[in-house]
Amino acid sequence: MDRLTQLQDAIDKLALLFVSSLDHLSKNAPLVALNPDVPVVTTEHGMPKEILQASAQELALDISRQAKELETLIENLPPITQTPEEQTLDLELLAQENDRATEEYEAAVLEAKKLLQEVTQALREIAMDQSNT
Amino acid sequence: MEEASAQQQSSAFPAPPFYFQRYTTENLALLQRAKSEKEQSDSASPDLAKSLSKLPFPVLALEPPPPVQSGKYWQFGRPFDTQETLATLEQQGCQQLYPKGPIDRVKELKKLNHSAIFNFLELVHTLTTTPGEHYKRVDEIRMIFINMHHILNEYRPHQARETLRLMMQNQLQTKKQETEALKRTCADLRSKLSALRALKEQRQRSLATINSSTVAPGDSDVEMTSSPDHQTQDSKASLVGASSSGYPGAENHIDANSRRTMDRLMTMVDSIE
Repeated sequence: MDRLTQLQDAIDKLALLFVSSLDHLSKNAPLVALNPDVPVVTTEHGMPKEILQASAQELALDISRQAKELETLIENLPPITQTPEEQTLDLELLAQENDRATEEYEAAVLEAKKLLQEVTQALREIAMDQSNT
Repeated sequence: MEEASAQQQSSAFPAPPFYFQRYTTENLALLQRAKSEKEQSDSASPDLAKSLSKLPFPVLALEPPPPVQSGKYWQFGRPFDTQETLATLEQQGCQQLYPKGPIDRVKELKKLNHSAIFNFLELVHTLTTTPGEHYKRVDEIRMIFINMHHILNEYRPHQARETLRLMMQNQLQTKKQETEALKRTCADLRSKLSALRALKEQRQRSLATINSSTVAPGDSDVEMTSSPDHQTQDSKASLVGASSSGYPGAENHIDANSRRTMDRLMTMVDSIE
């Protein structure tokens, strides 16, 4: 696929990972007592601490992997070798050459058609000869 | 009238512009006369000039206006540019984090990538310490991403022109190849055709010599007169593809040649069609 589009998608994916990891952590965090006099009562909120830490580790790994992928993609970008003016000049030259090639091609087609007529004429003569004798 | 039309342009079903009232049959006839008069001579005839001056607008305004060459133009009430350019970051209202002027895109993108991750780390830290101040980091991250996307957008026009160039090169190549193939086939066909013609003349000459040479009476006569028929029959037989009846020497050789020529001729004709 197009390299630029791949890069853009990778950047968007990184941003998505940022958002989703923070979201996951804040939603599933267990309750913690802010004041030692007010202990935690319910235990049915969120996930236990160990599982959450494991998932946090996984998320961090994902983010770093995505960043590495982004870096590889950036390195594989082709360089800009020509300025826009040079490019337009190239395009004009190519357009002229294209026109010339089209003219030649059409001339060749005309000749081939004429030749085809001659050949069918010759074949017709032979067939007539054959039918006459 | 101009204001009314400006208001109407933004409605869902705008009325046509008031210019349509000018296109009456008489006015169109006047336009035709004015144009032909202009081509013939510079000075218009007096009655034409009088009727032209009665119109509240120049008669040439009935022609469609020429296309806009440069600058802005308005279409359906919205402005369009004749040159599509990517707006710089300052024009979009965002701070530009990478230096101005020609830059090494790869290096700058990598730097931005690293700063994005770093800022995310700082975001997580501020969330643990002072959650109220997270918006600063979030804005920073947003700016970094916008910058990255902008650098990539600057690649796009270049990519478009490159693609166009490659496509044109491909087209050129195909055309040249096709022309070559056509020329080759034509040359081949021409040689075959000339060989056939030579064959035909040879046959006619042998016919003439056989007819004019003194013939022995009797069977040899029959034999002689039947040989040109056999020859023509053989060439026709080879055209159809049937094998020739056993025949001495030279005629056989000629017929084999003509058979081969005919076969090749047929294949050439098929390839052209």
